[in-house]
Amino acid sequence: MNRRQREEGGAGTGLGRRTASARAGGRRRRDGGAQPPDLEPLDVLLPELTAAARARAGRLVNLLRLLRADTAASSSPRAAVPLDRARGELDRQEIERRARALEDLLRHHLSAHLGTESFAWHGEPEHSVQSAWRALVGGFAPEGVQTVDLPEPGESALSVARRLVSALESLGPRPGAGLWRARLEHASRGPRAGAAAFEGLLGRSAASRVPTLGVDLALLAGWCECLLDRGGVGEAFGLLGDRPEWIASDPRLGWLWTWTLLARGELAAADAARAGLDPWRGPLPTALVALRLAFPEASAVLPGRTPPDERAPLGHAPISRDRRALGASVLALFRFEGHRGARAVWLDVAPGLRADLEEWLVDRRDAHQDPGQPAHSLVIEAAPKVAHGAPGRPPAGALGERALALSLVPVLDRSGEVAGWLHVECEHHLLPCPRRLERTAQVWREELAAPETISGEGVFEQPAAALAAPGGAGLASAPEPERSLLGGVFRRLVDSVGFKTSRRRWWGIDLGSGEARAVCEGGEGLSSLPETVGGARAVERCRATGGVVRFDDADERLRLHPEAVSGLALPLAVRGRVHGVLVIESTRRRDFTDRDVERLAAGAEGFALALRLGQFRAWHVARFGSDLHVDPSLSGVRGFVEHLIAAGRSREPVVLSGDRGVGKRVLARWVHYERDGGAGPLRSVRCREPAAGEPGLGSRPADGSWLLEGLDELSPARQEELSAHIAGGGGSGAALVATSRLPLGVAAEAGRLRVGLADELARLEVLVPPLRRRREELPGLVRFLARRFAADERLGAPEFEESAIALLWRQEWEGNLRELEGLVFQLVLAAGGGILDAERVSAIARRWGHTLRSRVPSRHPSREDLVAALRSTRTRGGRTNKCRAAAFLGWDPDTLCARMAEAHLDEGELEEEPTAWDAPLS
Amino acid sequence: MTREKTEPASPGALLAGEPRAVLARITTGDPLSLRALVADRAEEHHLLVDGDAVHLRTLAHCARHALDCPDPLRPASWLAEQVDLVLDRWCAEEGRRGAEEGPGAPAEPASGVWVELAGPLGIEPDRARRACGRFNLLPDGERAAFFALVLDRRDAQEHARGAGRSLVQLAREARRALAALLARRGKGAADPP
Repeated sequence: MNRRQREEGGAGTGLGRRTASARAGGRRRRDGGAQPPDLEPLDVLLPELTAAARARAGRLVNLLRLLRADTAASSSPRAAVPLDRARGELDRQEIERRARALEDLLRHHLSAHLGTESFAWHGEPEHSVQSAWRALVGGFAPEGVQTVDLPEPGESALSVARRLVSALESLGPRPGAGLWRARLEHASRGPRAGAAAFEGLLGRSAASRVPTLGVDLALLAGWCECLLDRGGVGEAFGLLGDRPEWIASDPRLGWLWTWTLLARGELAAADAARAGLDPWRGPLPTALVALRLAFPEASAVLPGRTPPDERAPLGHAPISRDRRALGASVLALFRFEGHRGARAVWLDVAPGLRADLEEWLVDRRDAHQDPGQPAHSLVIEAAPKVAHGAPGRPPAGALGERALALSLVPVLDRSGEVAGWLHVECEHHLLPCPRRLERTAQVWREELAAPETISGEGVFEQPAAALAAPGGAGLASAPEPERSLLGGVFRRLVDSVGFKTSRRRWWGIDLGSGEARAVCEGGEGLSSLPETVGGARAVERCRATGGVVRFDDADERLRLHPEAVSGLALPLAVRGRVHGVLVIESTRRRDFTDRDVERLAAGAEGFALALRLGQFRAWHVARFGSDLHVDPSLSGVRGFVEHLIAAGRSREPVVLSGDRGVGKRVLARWVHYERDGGAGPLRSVRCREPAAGEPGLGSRPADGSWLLEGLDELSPARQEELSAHIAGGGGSGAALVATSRLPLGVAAEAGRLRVGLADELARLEVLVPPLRRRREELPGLVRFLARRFAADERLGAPEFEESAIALLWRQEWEGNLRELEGLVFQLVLAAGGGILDAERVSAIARRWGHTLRSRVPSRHPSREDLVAALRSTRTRGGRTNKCRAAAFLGWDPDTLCARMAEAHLDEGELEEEPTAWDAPLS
Repeated sequence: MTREKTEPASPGALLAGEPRAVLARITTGDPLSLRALVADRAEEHHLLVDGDAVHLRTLAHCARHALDCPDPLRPASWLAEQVDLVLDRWCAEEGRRGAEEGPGAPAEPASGVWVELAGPLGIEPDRARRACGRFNLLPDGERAAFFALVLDRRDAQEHARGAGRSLVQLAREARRALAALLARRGKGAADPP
């Protein structure tokens, strides 16, 4: 048939009667006019077409007639096929056959390598391994096609897969050429590398286009599978959630979306997502099989085949000590010491959870004694424990409020008893396979033999050797307790300012000892510091100037990390002295805008006092063996501490005046610490009756600090002596710090102190208020003391209900901190790690001879007490809660409102009310 | 001078040997009448295909699987099965291409019958090919109705009576087939290629 014949509608042979009507032409209209023949069926069947559309449709129908006729023209000379073209088709089909066989073999081998844990699914193989090899080995090989040998004895599935992918690629360009290479990347280098490979193939514009290729859908599925394999449920949610059209186009993606929702605890959403999907008939990874057992109500969203053999070899994912590789928010190893409880020897905790870490570690110590905790049954049964929670209801024993699943895996000693356990906590339901965790726990068995442990509640033991030292090989690391105390401050600072860390790394540098030492680090952009670091001049310049040092291009002198190309050094300074530096460096040039710098600098400044406090605490622990509780966030405390620091840095004598037990000695130590970092000796002299061997006032020490305790009890003769010392050598020798129960002015008026001496010493007198005027501190103080005493006595720390805290809050505490410490110690001994309410506290106190008052007198309450009650019971958002405040006072809310009205106390102006710490330095 | 007559090879001889040799024999002159068989099967199944391309595939396919023919001396039913198999695969592949139509779909250079037939009619060849790909995946009833009412322009009532179907049913099936041909991915029937 020639072209003209085709255009005329097929005049060739072989069409038969079926085309007769087509060649007959159109029907005539009733009015006698001729209908365009091709349009009539269209007019009837698609009357809604516009004229233009009908014309186009008509042309299409004509085309189809011609096509049909062309197909039917079997005897045309044109039907003769050139032989070389036929040979080309033969080769193409053979290549296609080989490709299918190779792909089937890849499905078998990659699945064997990845194991039953993996979410990876490459489609159902059409053929068994044997028949696929037969198809590959048999037949003729087109020219240029790489042959594939059968597996060698002992050759791993991964090795065979590599050869298969090479062979597939040798077949020439094909749709989805990179798909199998990406799958191989996943199998050989792990899900992180696999995800990067899939992402690279899919391209950056993938999110913006509608998927038109099956390959695109398979790439997205592969990417999602990699994320789920490493527990990246949140990332999988984000990846798929942005692509609803893709999900709608592909059943596999539909199921991956359904399972992602289920892993997030969203069962209803998962159920809705799977509606309309054909039941999944492929294999289910072990994590989902476990969910099917844990949540029978979710069985509808978890169809699929269970792996045939539960003891099938584990996949070859490497054992990791990085919680992120497991998709976990907490990865910890606890050593179990029998009656002494459980202590952490390894901790990897998400930054957002570190604020509660100390308290949680204390709770973990005795968790094995609580039947409601999974550690209890783990120790009894020496078997792994898995617990699942729900959104808003984390499983028992979890650190994070958003935890959805928890796995405890025991590590057994040689006799089969529990020597410790691995704690893995996730903010989703996809826990790592228990067998993998068992293998991980075995690898860490050695760590349990180490004698050191971590204790986070404020009493520090030997440093935990298992934690990697910050600073890498290139920067000195701070020892404990600085590392834990100061590391916490830097981490809270980093969390509060919030910056992206994917291309950045940060270091918290402590300068308290004089040399720069890393206390913590974080971020993913750069590695830990190698042995050869940069010049690190940014830290020194920051320390010298107290200002932000910044570099926007690689600067060998300034940077800390040899691969950093931009960075910042942010000072944490108190009263002009830099005590620490937050260094942030990036792999990108000009990575910090002016606005970033401003915001980060302001954030760092806000944490400077906390850092200084941490340094003092660390020094106090090292020097005196006990930690302290100071909360600079409370009203007035910050200002007081800054004044104290200023006083300490002067060379003038400082006098701390206040009742017995208010903490004057500790504050005196702080004054000493602020003078040269507390390096010199602190020589203490009791003014009332110096003990034998204590230095008298005859000789003033040459360095350090000279602490005179009880100045108001100094005899007149010794007051003369002291005046002479001050007059004669005030500028040299040890700095003078003194404590006095009476304010100097009062002592002078009462004749207890010479007026001249009082005047001389009053230049820097710091008035320390009694505890009853510092009620806001009580809740935190009570809990801190309880933890400390419990740790000292190797007991469980009691938990205080609000009623117990309120009862303790409203007492007079005439003995101040000492009296409080005494009662809390008695409560710790009596409570044995239990829960204390007001009734129990009262009962225990009575046993020890204390009578606790049930309410603050409401007749003429002090304004200070009203303000303290409102401040102590504020919500986290800063709003007052009068019901709670009334409960703290032991009143009903109406009484509180009435007293507030009488005192003209406006709760909206609470910040303007003075605090007990606001008494000025004289 | 005499001219020796060359006897055509018997089907058994045609299908013997390794694939390249078989191919050479069955390609030249189409001794197995595969082209006609393709046409007949396509017509019987109401398929719109590139007959030449399907024929080419069938030649290669039969050459590769010649050894599987149960009775090389009487290969007719086996050949018909192979042609059906090739047509099924063709339709599946073309159907996938047809479903991938859209802004990001890969554009293959148009060639062969599509260029020859579609070009002069002002129709984009690749679009026409994809439309046929979608058509061939429709239910058989819809394809048959389209062939009868639109391509053959048969009388609808007569055809309905002959096929034992209601007129409404037939018209709906033909309409759906037309809509599938005319519709682009995501657009309505009013916008043919």
